[in-house]
Amino acid sequence: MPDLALIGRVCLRTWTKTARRPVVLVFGFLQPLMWMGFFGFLFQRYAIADAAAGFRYLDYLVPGICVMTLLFGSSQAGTGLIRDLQTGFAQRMLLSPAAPASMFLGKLAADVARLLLQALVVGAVGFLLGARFHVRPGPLMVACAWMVLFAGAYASLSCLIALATRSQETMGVFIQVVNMPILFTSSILVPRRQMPAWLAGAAEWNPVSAVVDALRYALSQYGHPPPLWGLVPAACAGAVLAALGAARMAAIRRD
Amino acid sequence: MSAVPAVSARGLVHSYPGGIKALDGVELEVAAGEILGLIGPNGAGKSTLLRILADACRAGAGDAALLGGVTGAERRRRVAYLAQDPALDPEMTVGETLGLFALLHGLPAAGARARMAEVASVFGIEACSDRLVARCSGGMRQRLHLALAFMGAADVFLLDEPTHGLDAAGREAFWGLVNARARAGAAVLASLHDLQEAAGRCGRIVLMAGGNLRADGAPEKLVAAHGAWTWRAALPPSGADAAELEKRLLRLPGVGEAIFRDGRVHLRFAGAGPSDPELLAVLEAAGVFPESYERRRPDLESVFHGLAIPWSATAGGAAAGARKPGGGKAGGRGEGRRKGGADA
Repeated sequence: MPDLALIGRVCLRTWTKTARRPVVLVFGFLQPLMWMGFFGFLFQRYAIADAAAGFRYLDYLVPGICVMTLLFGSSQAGTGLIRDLQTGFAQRMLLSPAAPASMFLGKLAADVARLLLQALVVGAVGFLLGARFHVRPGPLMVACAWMVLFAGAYASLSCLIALATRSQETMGVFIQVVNMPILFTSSILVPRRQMPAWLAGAAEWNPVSAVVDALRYALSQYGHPPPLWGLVPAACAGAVLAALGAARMAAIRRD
Repeated sequence: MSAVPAVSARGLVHSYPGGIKALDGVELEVAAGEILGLIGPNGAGKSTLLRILADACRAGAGDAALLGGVTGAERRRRVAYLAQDPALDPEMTVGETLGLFALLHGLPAAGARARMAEVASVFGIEACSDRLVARCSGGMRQRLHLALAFMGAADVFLLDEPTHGLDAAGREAFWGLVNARARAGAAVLASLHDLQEAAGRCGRIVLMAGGNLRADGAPEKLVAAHGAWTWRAALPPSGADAAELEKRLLRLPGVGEAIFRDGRVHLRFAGAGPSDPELLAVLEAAGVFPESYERRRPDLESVFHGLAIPWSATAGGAAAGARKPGGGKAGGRGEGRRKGGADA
């Protein structure tokens, strides 16, 4: 049974450390904002297929950039863990009687909550830059569920890689080499309908497309949301990755 | 005292990658309430033994049972392990670190506050509760490192060089707490490099070398069984032939070992050995006039050098606790020690 007090404390610790290292947070905002600025204005005359009259590229892009914030942010979840492994602090925590799962869930909860907040701020900046939203509460809640599951699962994967490699360099490679293909083979920047056929096929199966489609539908009433049942396999994948992460975390107690 | 040993190690073997054998069949039992000092040269296997007992490392072979064989979270609750390096998060404050570990040890809120206040007070870190660990001095970090080991209600303490970097007050506080826990029935294993500290603070000493135990017993018994009179002198540079001088010294009755190194001569005797004038006469006949010298009664350091690492294998007494040449640091319990040659 997860220890809620410990999850909360680990969560607080992660946030406090993030606040004390604002550079990471600033870069976490800067990157999506730059993408939004450059792409939003570079392609402002780009016509989105099947869009209602007056629907501009920026309206399409902002939900995508919100999800991109989750993609890049959650892929970096493992870097903090590597710092703890390198100082021996993680191993020290694991030699206490507390359950490793609670420690892992605390870290995940902190990262997911921070990333959702970051995505919200990115969306707000998009609004200030001129993006127009037609928010629907129901679909927004569903979209939030997709976002939480995706961020949690991808952060778990990042932590698994961190626990396996314990190397910031490997994490850097993972972030660059894996994130970019995921980004470009999703519907974050361009609708699938306007992609080459082979790319559209990849985007169809890319889970990031499901997340961004859900959010775009909730914020801009564009396109179709993924089927609700899709949340079930997403939740299962997230749970499996989180369980693997917690198990791997317990295993590093013995170096 | 319980009949079941608090710590029981049977045939522990461990090798690191590259075939480096760290433990070679260690057999050890520690009773509840016992304070055991683990001494030995670097690479003797002390840290590996503590890590295996703490379940921070898996033994290649053998069995380590603590508190009758408790496992899992119960074992981690009842066994406190202090690693050699202060594994702390530099981005947390002292108070945050204590608070986190109180929770990790499952202390209820009120109990946690009391325990945090207690250990912070004992180790003198209450005033820097809001200070980031990164901004603490090395000594303060070591105090926090120690405080965390005493956060839980452990019955076994496995402490790897706990007093490293601590000042005299910190050491007093630490040993005060260790004694209190031992009186309450906890078993304490502490690896120590300061032999005087080990002899003075631990009721039992285990000397390790080459991955195994070389001696085990009360400090005075070890000294009685394995100790030797020693004599050492700081020598000025001279043209004397060290090999020839060594031969002459070894010809004196009772001189068992004579080593010249780093401007010093170290002699180990069987029995009380030759008198100071006899030794000085041999040296002076070769044109070597010691700047200072000292004769020491059998002590733990002589046991250490006799059983674990001979003087010939050290760089002028590399073991901690060794004296500085030329009568620098006063040391220990050497009642027969005379210095400076004035009373030769």
